[in-house]
Amino acid sequence: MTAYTGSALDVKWIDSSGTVLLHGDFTVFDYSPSIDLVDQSAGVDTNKTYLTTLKDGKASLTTNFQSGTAVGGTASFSRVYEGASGTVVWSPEGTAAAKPKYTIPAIAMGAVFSYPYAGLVEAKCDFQQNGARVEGTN
Amino acid sequence: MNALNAGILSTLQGGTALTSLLSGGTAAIHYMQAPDKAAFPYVVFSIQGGGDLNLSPSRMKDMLYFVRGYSKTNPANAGTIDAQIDALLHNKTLTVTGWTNYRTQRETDIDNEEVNTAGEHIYMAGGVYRVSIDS
Repeated sequence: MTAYTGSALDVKWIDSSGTVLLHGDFTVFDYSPSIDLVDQSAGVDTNKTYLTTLKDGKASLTTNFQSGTAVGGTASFSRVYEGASGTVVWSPEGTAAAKPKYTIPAIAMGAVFSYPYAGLVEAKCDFQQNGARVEGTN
Repeated sequence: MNALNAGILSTLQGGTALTSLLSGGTAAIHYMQAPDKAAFPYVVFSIQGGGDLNLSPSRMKDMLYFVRGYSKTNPANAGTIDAQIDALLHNKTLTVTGWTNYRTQRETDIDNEEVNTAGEHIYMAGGVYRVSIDS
């Protein structure tokens, strides 16, 4: 086993206009899978039990927003406006051959900005998974 | 951090309202410490702390610089020099070769008085500035 940091993370947003690299100034990328459950407890049960139904997931990217219209600024985040459809592809250990790669069709929920007076301007965008997650390698 | 030191030095040297207060003009601004027997008043700046942020793949440094003026005249004279330093640095954008300066802000005020071996009073007034750069 070898632990690793997120420093080699590669995140792409692919839409009808092409591919945007989102990881240039990222600080955190999260992915949370989930699944819907149906409570099947009944009668004299003393513990709840569930049936699994539909899978789901959300991804979230937080980044130091770049000034102007450069990559990492509006050139990137105007592409992930609320409702934008595309595909999120992330490679936690970089894109070298055989390294893991995850792909989800997604709906962008829009970039959320924070402008602290004395701190770094951040943009955060959530992505609602919109289909099956594919796990593969580069 | 030579590039940042050079950026701060050139910014301070470019302030004529500051250099006109110093004995020796632009040559009276020193990194780390002034030469032995340097004429007063003068300015010294030095790194107080800081380093890499390691927040993102883009290399970023967050440095603290202690920039101060020294005078043998009186505390107010040192304070006047400090005010000119402040006018040049606080919320200003420095030119740093190879980097982008995205924050320069004063955070701490420091005044002091020393007595040298000749019994002369030396007054210092300055501040600690947070200087943040992105590659």
